[in-house]
Amino acid sequence: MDNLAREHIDINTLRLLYTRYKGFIVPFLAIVVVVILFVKITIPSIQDLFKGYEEQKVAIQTLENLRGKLNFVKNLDNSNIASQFNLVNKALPITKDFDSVLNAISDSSNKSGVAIGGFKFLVGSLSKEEDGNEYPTLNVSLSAIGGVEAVDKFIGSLTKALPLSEITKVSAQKDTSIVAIDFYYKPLKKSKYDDSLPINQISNDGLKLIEELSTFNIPQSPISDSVSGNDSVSTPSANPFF
Amino acid sequence: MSNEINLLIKKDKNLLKEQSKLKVFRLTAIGSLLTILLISLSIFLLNQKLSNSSLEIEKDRESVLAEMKPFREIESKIIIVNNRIDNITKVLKKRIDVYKILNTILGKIPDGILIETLEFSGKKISMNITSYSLIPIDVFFNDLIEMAKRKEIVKSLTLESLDASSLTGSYKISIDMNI
Repeated sequence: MDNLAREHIDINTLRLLYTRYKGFIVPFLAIVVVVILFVKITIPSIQDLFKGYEEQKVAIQTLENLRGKLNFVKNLDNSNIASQFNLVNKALPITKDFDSVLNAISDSSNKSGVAIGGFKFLVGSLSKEEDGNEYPTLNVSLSAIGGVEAVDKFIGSLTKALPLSEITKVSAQKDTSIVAIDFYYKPLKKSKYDDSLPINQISNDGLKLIEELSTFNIPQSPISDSVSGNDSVSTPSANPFF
Repeated sequence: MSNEINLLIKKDKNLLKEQSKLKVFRLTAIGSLLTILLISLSIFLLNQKLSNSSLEIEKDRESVLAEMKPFREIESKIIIVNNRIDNITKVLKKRIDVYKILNTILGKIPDGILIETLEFSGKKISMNITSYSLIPIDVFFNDLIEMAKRKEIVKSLTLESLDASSLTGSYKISIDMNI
C-alpha cells in the first residue's frame, strides 16, 4: 500500500514538473544542439578554413617563385650556361672520370716534357656509392722519368689542369720519381624537386671561380680530337691508353 | 484581507517570473541558433571563395609549369653549376698546393747545391742535398730558417744529418721540414 502510494507520488511529481517546465524543453534542446554543432562542426570548419588560407599562402608563394624562375631562365644565355656547366663538370666530375684523368696526366706529361713510366689506379668500388667521404678521389700513382725539377714541372702543369687534383706523395730520385695524385670527383646527391624553392643566380664569387677555372687546362681526348678533325697536330702521348 | 494570505496574487507573481525566464531562455536558444547559422554560412561562403581562388592559383601554376617545361634543362644545369661551384670552392680550400710549396723551396736553392732526393708526404718534406761548398748550404739554410720564422710554408725545420766526405770533397745534408 505504501509502495503504491510512493509510486503515485513520483508520477505525480514528474507530471507536475513536466507541466511546469515543458516550455523550457525545446529551447534547452536547441541550445544543446547548438553547442554540439559548434564544438563538432563549426570549430573544425574554422580550423580547416585557416589551414586552407595558409596552404593558399604557400601556393601563392610557390607560384611567385615559379614565375620568378621562369623570368630568370628565360633571360639566361643558354650557350653560356652550357659552357659553364661543362667547365665545372670537367673540374669536378660527378663520377670517376678515367678519360679526363688520363688526358690530364697525358697533357701534363707533354707540356712538362716529362715521360711517364707507368700508371697505377686505385679505383675502389665501381658499383657502390662512396659513403662517408665528403670528397671522394680517384687515386693514381705514376712513375715519371726525371728528377726533382722534372717532377716539379709536371706537378705545376697538373695543378693547372682539370679535373682538380691534389698531389699526396712525391718521391723524387735522380732519374725516376713516383707521384701519387688524388683526382677529385663528387657524385650528385639525389634530391626531390621542389617548386617552392627559388632558383639562385650564380654568385659573383662563383663567376670569379668559373673565370679562374677557364684559365685551367682542359685536356681533350686524342680520340675526340681526331674525330673532330684536329688530328693534324700529332703530339707524342704518354698516355698508354691512347 | 492581507496580501500574505492571498494565494492567488503570489501565484501570479511566480507565473510572471517563470514566463520571463522562459522568454529569456527561448531568446537565447533562438539567438544561438541564428548565430551558428550565420557562422556556418560565413564559413561556407569563405570556403567557396577560398576554393575558387585556389582553383585559379592552380590553373596559373599549371600554365606557368607548362611554360617552364622547355627551360627545365637550363634550370637543372644552373642548379648543378651552383652545386659544383660550392664543392669546387671547398676542394680548392682544402687541397694543399704542393706545386707552390715545392716551387718556393726549390726557388730558394742556390747554385752549387744538387738535390739527391726529395720526399713529400702528408705535411712533411724530406730532402737530401749535396754540395761541394758550405757557402750555398749556409745560404739555403738561412733562407729556410727565415721561412720557418715567418711561418711561410715551413713550420719547423730539422737538420737530420750533415756528412762530409773527404774523398769527394762534398757535403751531404739531410733535412726534414714540416709544412
